[in-house]
Amino acid sequence: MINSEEKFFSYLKGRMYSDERKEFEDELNRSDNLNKEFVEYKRLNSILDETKNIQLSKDYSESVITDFRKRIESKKLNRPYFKYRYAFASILIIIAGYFLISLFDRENTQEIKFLLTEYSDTEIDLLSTNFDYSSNIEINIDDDAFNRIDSIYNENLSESLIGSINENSLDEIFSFNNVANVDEYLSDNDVDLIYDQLINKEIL
Amino acid sequence: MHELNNDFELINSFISGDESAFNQLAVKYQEKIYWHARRMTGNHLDADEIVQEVLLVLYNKLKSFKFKSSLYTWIYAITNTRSINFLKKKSLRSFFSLDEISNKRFDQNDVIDDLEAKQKIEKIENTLQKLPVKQREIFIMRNFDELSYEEISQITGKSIGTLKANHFHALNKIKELVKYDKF
Repeated sequence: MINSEEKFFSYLKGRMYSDERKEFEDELNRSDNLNKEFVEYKRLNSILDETKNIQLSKDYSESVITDFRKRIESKKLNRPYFKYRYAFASILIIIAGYFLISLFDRENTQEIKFLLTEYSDTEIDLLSTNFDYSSNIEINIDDDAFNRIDSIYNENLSESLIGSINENSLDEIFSFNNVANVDEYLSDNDVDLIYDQLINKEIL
Repeated sequence: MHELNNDFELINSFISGDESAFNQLAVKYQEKIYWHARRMTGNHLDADEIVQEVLLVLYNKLKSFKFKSSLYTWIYAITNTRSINFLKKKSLRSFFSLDEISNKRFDQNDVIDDLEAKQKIEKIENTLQKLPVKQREIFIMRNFDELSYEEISQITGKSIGTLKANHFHALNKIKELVKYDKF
């Protein structure tokens, strides 16, 4: 069947030389099974073909580049902070690590609330704004920088972080509302890793 | 202004600072990006988001494009990777019950004027969504974009044997679904 599909495909797309076409047509005439398969394939092909050249509305087509330019402009407006992104990212990792570790050690959640009130609205806005950079960070840094970040994480943070997480801690983490945007804080590699792990455990 | 009509000229012009050259590239490829993303995700809003993401990647990475493959192949590879990552993230969010996963159509945001065409698209989209992602991507590349296995291998980095096996399973499933759904 795999070979037949290639022949069907080449025949219908006009990618056969004339002697190949002739040979294939002879094969079709000789074999009822092959002919039946070909008819099925041709039918499916014509159903798919009907949806191939459908025009998008003019309004949408024109809006794509306009929307894109707006996004670029809004990113440019944030550029003054842009050169400090590594520093922000490092600080955020340290703060997040501190919170996580201290969170697991605390029995009294009042203390956490007290810590959160230490931040002004402006500081919280600043932190959340700069989290946005992490979702697009792979666009803006090269492979060497990625490797350096990975090695810093692997050497310094991953063991202590993993070591400090137990089942109760996970329950506590997932009870927070901000987990709703968890994927925004993950790189594509992190998502791949998590997704593969979930697949391996047949959870998804 | 002289209309630049090939990719090489457009890229060089963009690198030299001509922003309108990027607009021309975007207009040239946006539909191809959109349709691949839409077939992968099965809806307009997700496809639109992927189009914007892909354009952003192009805008930032075009300077490093070395013409080792055609621009189309490169854009296609980026679109495919972004679509798969998007689906993985969506899957993660639904696993943690963070988003109400809904297959409702957002007609007010839809982009196909012709009603009959819209119905055909929705039927095909529903069928494609029943394939596992790995089979879906191969099926779309082969049967909608008419790519050869060599081209698909270049885009996905998978061996031709694996691709043929995935496509074989996808094709059989789709044939059954098409029979069952009475297209």
